[in-house]
Amino acid sequence: MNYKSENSGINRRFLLRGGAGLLFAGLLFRPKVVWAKEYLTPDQARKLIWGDKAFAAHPVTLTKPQMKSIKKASKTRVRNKKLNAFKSAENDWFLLDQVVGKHEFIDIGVGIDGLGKVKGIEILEYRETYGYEIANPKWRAQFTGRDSSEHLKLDKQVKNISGATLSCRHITDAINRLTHTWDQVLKPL
Amino acid sequence: MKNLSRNQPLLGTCVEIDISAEVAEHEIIALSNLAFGEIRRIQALMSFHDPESELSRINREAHLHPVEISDDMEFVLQFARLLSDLTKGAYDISVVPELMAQGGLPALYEPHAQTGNWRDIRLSKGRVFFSRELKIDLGGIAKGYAVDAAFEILAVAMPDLDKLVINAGGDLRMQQWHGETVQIRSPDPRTRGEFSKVDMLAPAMATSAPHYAGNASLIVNRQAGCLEKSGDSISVFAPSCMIADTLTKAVFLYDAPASILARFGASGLRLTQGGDEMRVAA
Repeated sequence: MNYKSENSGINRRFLLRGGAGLLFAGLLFRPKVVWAKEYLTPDQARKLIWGDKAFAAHPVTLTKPQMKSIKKASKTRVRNKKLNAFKSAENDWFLLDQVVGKHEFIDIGVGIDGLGKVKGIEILEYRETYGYEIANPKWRAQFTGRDSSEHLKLDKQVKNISGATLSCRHITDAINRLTHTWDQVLKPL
Repeated sequence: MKNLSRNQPLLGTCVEIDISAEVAEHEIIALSNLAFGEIRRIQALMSFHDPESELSRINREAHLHPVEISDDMEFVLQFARLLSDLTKGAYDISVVPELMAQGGLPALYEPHAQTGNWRDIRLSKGRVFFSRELKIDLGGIAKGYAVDAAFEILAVAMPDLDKLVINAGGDLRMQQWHGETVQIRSPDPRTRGEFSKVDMLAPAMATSAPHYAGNASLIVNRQAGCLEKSGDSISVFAPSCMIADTLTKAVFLYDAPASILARFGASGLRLTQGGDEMRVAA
């Protein structure tokens, strides 16, 4: 099983959607990745949560009524009907999901055990994207020798970020949505 | 050398741990698990939102009878009380009614006309007692303390790590901080994706900006009877992350912040919405 290709499938779909938006928005609105950091591959995250336990891909497509019911129970929008899921012989699950905030796009891996309890959460990749042109010359000047429209990779250029606390509310919402997804859909599988 | 970089949603934010060490892979994983475990332990003690936390028990009972508390809680409350004393009450962890009214905290308690303040927090022999009914919130101190606790547990477990950085949503601590830089976000919501690069001046630093993330970072100015309205951000460099975390608020709220910073061996940096950097000085 090639986990990496599964994951990049999510990213490609996301980028394609963003690309379509770009065409409609025209030149005034140019989304760009401000920074991104990769932490773990899906495989590494699964091993951190579940150790060497064997998992097999178990993709699930949610029906419309299921999506509606999960949304009602978790009070969280269900964006994707396809669940990128892996299952062990002991009914443990490992789910790959994407959390979409106003500016942040976070890939997460979540382990849920046979009783529906969250065993672990790992952030695989964190990206922040902004759709404005940087107007302020002083802030621009801090990017000396660097075009602010270029894609920045955190590991090389932007590290040790401080600022007032970022909320993890969107991740909490996603975990809530996934535990309800387990309860309503994955439990009997 | 083995590197491991993990990030988990904890303390209401994303907590990132970067470790490099000359050890086997399973050992570096065990070290990161130890650090995340310690952060979870502090979260379970000090969460305002969790009705099972030690803090919630204090908020329910400490005005009725003395409540036995953990060493961690005693340390944090002692420091909060000291800082309230030094800032003549400008820094006060009992601003819960104001935070609940503004949506900065969930309305877990009945709205009450609270007459008590930090002076009513009495600490003695591992117990806390409120001499008047009081609710306290550790939102501006527990995150820094949790970073310190995780950092110190790793420093004991493995004193010769090549690299250790723990960053809880911008409250961060580093092992080798000399010559390192840190990127501070623009406090202006319109340029939030921009960073100002500054030198690390101490092992720990934290940043607060009242306008930054909506209700999540409200700073209550009880003495003025309003919310802190500055559009700037304050970063504090300090020997520990708890000190850095709390002093960012003290700089906003207290009119003579330089003396407080000096007392704790800390220094402050104000970033304005226009992108200016100003040292906080007397």
